[in-house]
Amino acid sequence: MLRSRFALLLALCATLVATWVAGCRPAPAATPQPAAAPATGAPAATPSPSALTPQRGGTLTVAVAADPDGLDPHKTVAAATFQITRNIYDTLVQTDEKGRLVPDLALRWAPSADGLQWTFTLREGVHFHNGRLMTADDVVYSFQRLLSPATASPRAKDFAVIDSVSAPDAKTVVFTLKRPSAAFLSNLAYGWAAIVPKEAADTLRDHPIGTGPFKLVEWVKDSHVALERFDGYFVPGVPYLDKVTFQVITDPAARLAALRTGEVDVIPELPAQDVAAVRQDPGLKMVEVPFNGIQYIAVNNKMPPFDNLKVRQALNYAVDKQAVVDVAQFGIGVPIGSHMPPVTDYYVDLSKRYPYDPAKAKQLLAEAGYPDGFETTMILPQPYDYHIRNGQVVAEQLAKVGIKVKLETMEWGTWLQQVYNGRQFALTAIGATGRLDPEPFLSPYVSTSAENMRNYANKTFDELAAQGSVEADPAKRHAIYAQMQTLLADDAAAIFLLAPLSSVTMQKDVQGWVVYPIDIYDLRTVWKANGR
Amino acid sequence: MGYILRRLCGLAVTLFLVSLITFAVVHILPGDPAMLILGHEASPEALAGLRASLGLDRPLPVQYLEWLGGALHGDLGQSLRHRLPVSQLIAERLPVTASLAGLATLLALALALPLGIVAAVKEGTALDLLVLVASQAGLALPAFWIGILLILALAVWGRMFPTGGYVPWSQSVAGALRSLALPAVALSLPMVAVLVRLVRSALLEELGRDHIRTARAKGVPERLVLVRHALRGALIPTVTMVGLQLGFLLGGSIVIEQVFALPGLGRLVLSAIANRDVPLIQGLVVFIATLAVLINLGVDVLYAVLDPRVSISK
Repeated sequence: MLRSRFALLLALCATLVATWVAGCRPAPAATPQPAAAPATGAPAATPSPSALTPQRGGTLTVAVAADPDGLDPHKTVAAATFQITRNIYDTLVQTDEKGRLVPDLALRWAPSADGLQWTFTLREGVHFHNGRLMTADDVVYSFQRLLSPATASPRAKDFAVIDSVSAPDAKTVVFTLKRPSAAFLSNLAYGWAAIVPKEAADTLRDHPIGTGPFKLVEWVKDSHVALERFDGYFVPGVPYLDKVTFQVITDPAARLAALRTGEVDVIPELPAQDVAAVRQDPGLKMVEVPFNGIQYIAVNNKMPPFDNLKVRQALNYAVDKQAVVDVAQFGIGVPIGSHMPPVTDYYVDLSKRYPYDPAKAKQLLAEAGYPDGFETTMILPQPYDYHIRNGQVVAEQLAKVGIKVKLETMEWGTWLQQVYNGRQFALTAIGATGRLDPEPFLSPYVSTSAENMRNYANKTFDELAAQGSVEADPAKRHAIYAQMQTLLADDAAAIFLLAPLSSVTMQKDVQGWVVYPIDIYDLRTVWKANGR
Repeated sequence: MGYILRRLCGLAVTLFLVSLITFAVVHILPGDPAMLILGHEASPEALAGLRASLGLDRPLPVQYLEWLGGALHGDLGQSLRHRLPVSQLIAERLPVTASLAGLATLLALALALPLGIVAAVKEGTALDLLVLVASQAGLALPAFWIGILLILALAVWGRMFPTGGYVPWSQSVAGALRSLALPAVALSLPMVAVLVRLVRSALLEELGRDHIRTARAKGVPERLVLVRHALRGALIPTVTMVGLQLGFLLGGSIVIEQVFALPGLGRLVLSAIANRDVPLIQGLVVFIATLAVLINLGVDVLYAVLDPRVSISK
C-alpha cells in the first residue's frame, strides 16, 4: 500500500523527489511534458530505504519570521503569505527544486506555433476544500480575478500579456496572449497564480479555500497559522503530516531557542551568524542549498563620480568579495560577478571579471581624475542586518583605496521611498530574490524600467532584453541572457557581491524537506520519522 | 468630584493633541503605505488604485477630520494592512499586554517591597550593599537582553518554560502563566531595581522623622513602627513611581513581546509603524495615551486614600 502511494507521489512530482532523494538528475525536458511516469521515478528512489517508508501522521511546527499579510493569494506580494499558501492552494504548473516546470493542476500544455495560444489540459477529479469539484471554469475565473482592476492584484502586471482565457470544455483551458512571451509559463508557477473557487473569493483573506494538500484550521494573527491534512487532496496518501503549524517568532535568537527546546521542528531560513553554532549541535540537522538570490551594492550610475565607468570598475577591483562572504556572511555564500545567482540555469560565471586588486583600483581612480579618492555615502536598509554587514565590510575595503564611505542606516519604509522610488542615493546595500525566468530578474536594468533605481542605461542591453522576452528557442535565449549578464559586469553596473545559501535547520526526525528556487515551504513531501 | 471632572476635560484636550501630533508625524515620516502593502515591484496603476481604495488620495485635513469624527463616536477606523477595525485589533491584543504588564507589576512589588525594607532596616550592612549593587545592575541591563538570557537558562537548558508564544487564559490558566512567566520577569526586573531604591530611601527618610521618634519613645514595638507608621509614608512615593513605571512597562513590552513572540499591543505597534498603517498607529497611540492619563488619574486618587493631607475635592 505504501509503495503504491509513494509511486503516486512520484507521479505528482517525480523529478523533484528523484533528484532530492537519490541525487540523480534526469535531463530537463526540452519541451513541457507531464511529469515522468512512476516507472521513471521508482528505481531512482530504491537506494534510499528511509525515503521508501515515509510515515504518516504527526504534527510539524515551522518557525516563520513574519505573520502572513492575509491568505488571499491574489491580493498580496508578502513572502510570508506565499511561504504558507503553497500548502493551501495549487497552481497550473509548479517548479521542481531545479526550477524546471512540472505539472500541478494542469497535466500537460502546449503553445500554438505562433506562440500566441497556450492550451492546458487539467487534471480531473480535483476537489476544493469545500468539497466542490474544480473545473476549467475555476481556472478562467481565477485569472479573470487576478487581472481585474477591482482586485488590484499587485502581481497583475506579470500577467498583462494575457489577452483572454477561455474554457472550451471542463478540463481544457486556453490562454490567448497579446504577444509571444517566453516567461508566460513560469509565471503560472508562482503562488500568486493560485486557482481559487469563486464562491469563496470574498473571504479568502481570512478563510482560504484551495485545492492544496492542507486546509486551514485557524489563523491567530501574529501568533500562528494552523493547517490540517486535506483528505481529498488529488494525490492519494499525500500529504503525510496530520497537522502543520506555522509559528510566528520574529526574534531570531528566540527562533533558535525554540528549535533547541523542540518547540519547533524546522527553521526554514537560519541567519548566517547562527549557522556555525547549529553545525556543532548534535541534536539538529541542516540542509544547506544555494539560495535563488543575490546580494550586491547598488550604484547610482547617473550620479557623479559614479557616472564614470572607470570609477565603477575601480569600486569592483577594490572589493574583495570572498572577504565579504567570509566576514559579513560568516562564509555562508559564494562570490558572484553579475546580476544572477549560480543556482539558475542561465548563470554565467563572471566572478573573476574583477579580481581583488587595490592597486588597479587606485590606478583607475587616478585615470578618472580622483588620485586621492573621494567621499561618498552608502545607505544601509534596516532591519536587514545581512545587508548592513555587507555594506560595512565594503566600506572598509573602499577606504583602503581612498574612497571614504559614510554609512547611513535607513528604515525600510523610508528606504523604499527615498532610494528605490526617489533614486536619491550614491551607494546602497541591497539584494534581489531570484525568479524562475531570467526576464523579470534582469528587466529592472532596462533604461526605461520604473524599477531601474540604479539608473543603468545601455542601448544594447535594452535591445537584448526585448529580444529575450519573446525568444522561444532555449539555446538562443540562453545566449541572450548570458550576453546581458556580461554587459552588466563589463559596465560595472553595481558591485555584485555574493549569492547566499539557504540553511534549513530542523530536528533529526524531520524527513523530506525540499528547498525550491522560489520562496515556498512545501510540506507535501515532509514526514516525521517518529510520527509524533 | 469637580477635580476628577476637570481632569477628564484635561484628558480630552491631551488626546486631541496626541492624535493631531501623531497624524502629523506619521505623514512627515517618509514611506508610502500602499507601496509597503504591495511591495516595490507593484505597478504605478496598482499603487494608485490601492491609495484610492484606502482613501489615502484625499487631502490630509479631510483624512484627519474624518478620523476624528469617527473617533468621537468610538470608531477608530480600519487598519490599512489588516483590513479590520482598529478597535477589534486592539481588543484582540490587549489581554496579552495587560496580563504581561499586570504580572510584571505584581512581581515587581512582591520583590521590591521586601528587598527595599530589608535594605532600609539593615542600612549600611553588607546586605544593604548587596541589594543596592543588584538593583544598580537591574537598572543597567536592558530588559530584552535579560529576556534572552532567561530563555537560554530556563527554557533552552532548564526546559522549565516555553521559549515564547502565548497560551490564552481561556485555554489554560497554567499555560498562560507559564507562557507569561519569563517575559514578566524580564520586564519587571528594571522596575524592581527602581522600586527597591525608592522604597529604601523613602523608608529611611520616613524613619528619621519626628513622628517615628515619638512612636518609638511611646514604646511602640519596632515592627509596628515600621509597618504602621513608616511604611505608610514610604508608600506614597512608591505608588507614584508604580504609576509612572506602568508607562515604561508598555514601552518595554514592545521589545519584550518581540523576544518572546507574544501577540500583544507592542507587536502591533511595531508592525503598524513599519507598515505606515496610519489609522492603526493613530488608534494605538490614542489608546495608550488614554491608558497613561487614566493611570495617572488613578494614582492621584490613590494619593488621597493613602495620605489624609491630600484631598481631591480641592
